[in-house]
Amino acid sequence: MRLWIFEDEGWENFSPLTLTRPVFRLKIGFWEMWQRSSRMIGISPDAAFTRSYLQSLTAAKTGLTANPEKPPNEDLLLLNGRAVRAEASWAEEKDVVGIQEGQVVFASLSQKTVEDIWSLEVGELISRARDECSQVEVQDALASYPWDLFLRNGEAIRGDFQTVGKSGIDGTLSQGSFIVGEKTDIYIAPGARVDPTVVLDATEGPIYIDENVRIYPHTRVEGPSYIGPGTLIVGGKIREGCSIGPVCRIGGEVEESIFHGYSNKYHDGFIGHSYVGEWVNLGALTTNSDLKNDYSTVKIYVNGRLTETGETKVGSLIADHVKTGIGVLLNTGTVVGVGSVLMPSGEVLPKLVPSFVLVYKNRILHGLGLENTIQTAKTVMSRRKVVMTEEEAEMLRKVYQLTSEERETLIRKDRRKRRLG
Amino acid sequence: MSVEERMIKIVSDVLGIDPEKITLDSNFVEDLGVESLDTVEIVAAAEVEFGIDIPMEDAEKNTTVGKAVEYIKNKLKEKEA
Repeated sequence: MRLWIFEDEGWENFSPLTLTRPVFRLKIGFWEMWQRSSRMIGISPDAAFTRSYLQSLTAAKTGLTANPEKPPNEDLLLLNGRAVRAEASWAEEKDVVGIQEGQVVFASLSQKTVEDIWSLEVGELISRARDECSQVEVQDALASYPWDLFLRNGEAIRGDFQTVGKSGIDGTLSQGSFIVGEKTDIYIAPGARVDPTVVLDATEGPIYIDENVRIYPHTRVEGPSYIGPGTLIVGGKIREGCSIGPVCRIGGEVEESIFHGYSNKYHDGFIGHSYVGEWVNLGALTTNSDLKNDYSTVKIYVNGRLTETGETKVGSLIADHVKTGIGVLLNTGTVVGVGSVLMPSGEVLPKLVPSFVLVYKNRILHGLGLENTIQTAKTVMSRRKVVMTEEEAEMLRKVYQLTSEERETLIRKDRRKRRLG
Repeated sequence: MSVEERMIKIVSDVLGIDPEKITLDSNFVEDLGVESLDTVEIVAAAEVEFGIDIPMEDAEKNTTVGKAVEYIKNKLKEKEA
């Protein structure tokens, strides 16, 4: 039995986070979704289907064959990359498709069926599987929107802590630091160091501190939380439900949020109920609202349309390579596109910021341009000893093209507003 | 007002410099002390004033007020064509 991951059209609901990666590379709990669901299944995947412009980067970053051209000579479990829950029993079924609210969660296919229905186009392959196989209802397995990830993150961390099965201190817990709750609900990995005065509070859930993390003095970490390899927590409050890292620099207050990796929020300021992409830098005092003053549910732009989340706590979606200046204020349910730069205005910024723009004095402007943004990204990455490959630069150029219409529309709209004003 | 006069007014307004001290030969950085955010402001104001798009890569090549004026005139001609 082989396990292949597929990306369906649901990726669009996760944009702009998924403009630079397949949806199955978003994170929840300890891992990216494809890594997590394959652990639940108990089979290592060896291939995945994604959009063509992400194909080579996906292969390079995951080690998977991207967009395989031939069917496997074995039975195949095709698993939706948006799965946040999966069952090993799905791999035991034959010629069965699991459906959640009309969407395919998995297709467990015999070798013969795969060969009979094979298509290079994954949408067609899944559609044929639906036609040819019996169907079973599956509950609560797919993430449909980005807020599903951070709102379910605490539960995912609890599950992943059990899956890994490690607890205790393999790193350094300095004298003068404090554990509140059970020591068995905490794991400090080799090379990690927790400084004096740090409080690790595991009364509400486990805390996993991965390799080479350092937690500086005057930090309080509440479980359930996961701190990824090489991350520095430089003082502040890491509240429940956070997954951070690898290689992030985090200070201030963070609550129920996912920092994908290589991002900085070094200084004071609050980020709550948010997903922050890679290579993001949030300037000092950058703060987002995650709760409206009338406690009503939050609306957020999904794929360009203002959408009711049905949730009272939703913060921001901040895509890769975004930079914010000091004191930037983000409204409840703000979406910031890839590579954009936000400067403070003293008021909350627009709720929808397209990719590759500059928001300055609350106006949406063309900003520094694509090649300058790529050059800055290269500089930022080199500071963490990472070289941006030409494939990554090309991917950003492609994202620039794909987002051109939205960007130009919003810039023109903003310009018209100023002329009228 | 001519394109020259309108552009000098934009630069004067953004930088708070007396328009009489701004000439077509004025270098944005060396003579007027323009920094990156000033450039963004000048470009944004010019885009609104003339109704054209000015990519930052182009703006950076226009090192003097005169070069910016020529660039804008060409853009306006393209727009009319």
